[in-house]
Amino acid sequence: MIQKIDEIHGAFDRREITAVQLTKKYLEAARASRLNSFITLCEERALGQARAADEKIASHGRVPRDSHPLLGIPLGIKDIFTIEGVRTTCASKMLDNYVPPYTATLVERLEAKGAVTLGKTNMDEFAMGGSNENSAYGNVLHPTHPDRVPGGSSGGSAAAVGGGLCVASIGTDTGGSIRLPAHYCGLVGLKPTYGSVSRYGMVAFASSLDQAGPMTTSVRDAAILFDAMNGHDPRDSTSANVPPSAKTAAALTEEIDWKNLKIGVPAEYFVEGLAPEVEASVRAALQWFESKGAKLVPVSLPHTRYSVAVYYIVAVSEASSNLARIDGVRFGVRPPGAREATDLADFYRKARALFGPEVKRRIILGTFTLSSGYADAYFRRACQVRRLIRQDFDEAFTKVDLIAGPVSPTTAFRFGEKSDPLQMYLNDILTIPANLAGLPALSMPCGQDGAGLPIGLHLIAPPFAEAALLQAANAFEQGRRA
Amino acid sequence: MALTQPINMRQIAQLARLELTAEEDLAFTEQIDQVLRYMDVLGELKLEGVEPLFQPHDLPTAFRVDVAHPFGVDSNGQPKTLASAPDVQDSGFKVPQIV
Repeated sequence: MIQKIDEIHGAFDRREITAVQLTKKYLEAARASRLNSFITLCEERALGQARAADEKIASHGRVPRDSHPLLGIPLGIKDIFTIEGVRTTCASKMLDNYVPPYTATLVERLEAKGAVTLGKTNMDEFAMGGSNENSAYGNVLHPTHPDRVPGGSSGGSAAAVGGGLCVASIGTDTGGSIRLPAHYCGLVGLKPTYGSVSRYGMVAFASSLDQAGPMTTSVRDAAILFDAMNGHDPRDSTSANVPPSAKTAAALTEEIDWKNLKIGVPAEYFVEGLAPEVEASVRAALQWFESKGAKLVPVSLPHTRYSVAVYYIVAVSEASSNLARIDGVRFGVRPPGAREATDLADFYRKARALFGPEVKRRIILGTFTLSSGYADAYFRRACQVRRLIRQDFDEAFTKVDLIAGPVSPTTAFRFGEKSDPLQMYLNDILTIPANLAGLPALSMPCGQDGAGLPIGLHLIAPPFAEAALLQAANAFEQGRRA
Repeated sequence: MALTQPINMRQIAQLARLELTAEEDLAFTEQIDQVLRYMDVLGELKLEGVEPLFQPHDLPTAFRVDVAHPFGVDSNGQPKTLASAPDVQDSGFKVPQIV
């Protein structure tokens, strides 16, 4: 099935396939799939949008790409985004029946550009996890190696694209939840600059870290989607008031000034425990850039070793506060025990019984790190170190244009392989720093290990430098293919 | 400097409005203790004079016009915000008696 936006639009123009036919094909594939990558399929909505797309193509004679760059393109949307009238579960039994009364800005923007919302993708409950083993709706399988995890928390979004069940998908990345599954599944996954994509209608996990982004089979598609979704939103008070970047995709093919491109290589990212095949693939990618004329510059990010500790204090503290609203009062499920409660404290405890273990664990940890007497030792201290981590990047970006390294120490692991929480948390060490510093970063395929499992290249750029980031990524993708 | 403080699971669960099973209590105590011991690494750093960073970018406070944007009513005239409420009475969210 064709899975690149330009190719699909070409096929629409030539009347080889209609948007309705394409949507039906993807819906059939999604229904027949065993990957468990969708929680809800939006068949009626999708077919209505596809019909509207076909009418628009008929009236224009071809796809009006400028006004509707996503016309008729079936997308998977992580089940963390609200859509009016469509069930939004966040992969939690707490929200099993939640039908929100409003639509996320991101979804509104994509649909306004012609996208077809095929369905809501599976994920780790409330985006808490790195393997998609924490969903109340079951594990998502890796699209090519079913005994392996697809990565998380946007595992359903990754498997849906990797398995050919939608053209592209939207994920969210709080500590690596787009880039990690992109690395494991051989996709392009972009986490934009914090504040560049609206969080309105995206169920909050850790508000100072969460950022939505595209997961695609090509850099160009990631750029097209980024152009369609970024920009200031007055409904999100942390949305950056900078001019939206609408021409990233158009700028991809601009000639790169290779002689003046400096790529930072942080020694701290080539960590102990880095699988030799992952290191070899990433080093080979770096050599490709060097062969084009770019300069590889050793840089130091000395506070990297503190990033997991900082992240797992900041993220869980924010989560414990954000998830307080999930209380069975205004929306979501109220279990029978809560209906029989005799006072409000008892009601809350009974109502919140449906959280899964990882969510409960993080709420407990976050409540502790914010509690009276401990908040200074944990939360405040973590935020001080967070500043040092950002300063490391600020300093590095005075010398280089991009930073490159691995996304994760290993390729996709087996289900159940990382059984204790700390072991799982340490797996995020290379993706977390970009979230703490709010930087744009992407993962893109750069090789495979001996078992045929994909390996990702991690590129990180200064704030709001998505255009430069995607240009370099596109050059690598095209150059490697040639 | 070691940061590790023993966690009083019962008290924290009460603050978090969570009811833990005996198994969860036992497992979480051990797992969270392990995570907190790992976080001792932050005690190595001298942080006097370092301002905490709560947001990655220095965004100005975003004010907005003080105008309500109601979600409106559904085809039955019921406010849309009540559509997913577990229990409703007289256009309000019903909860147990608290006083």
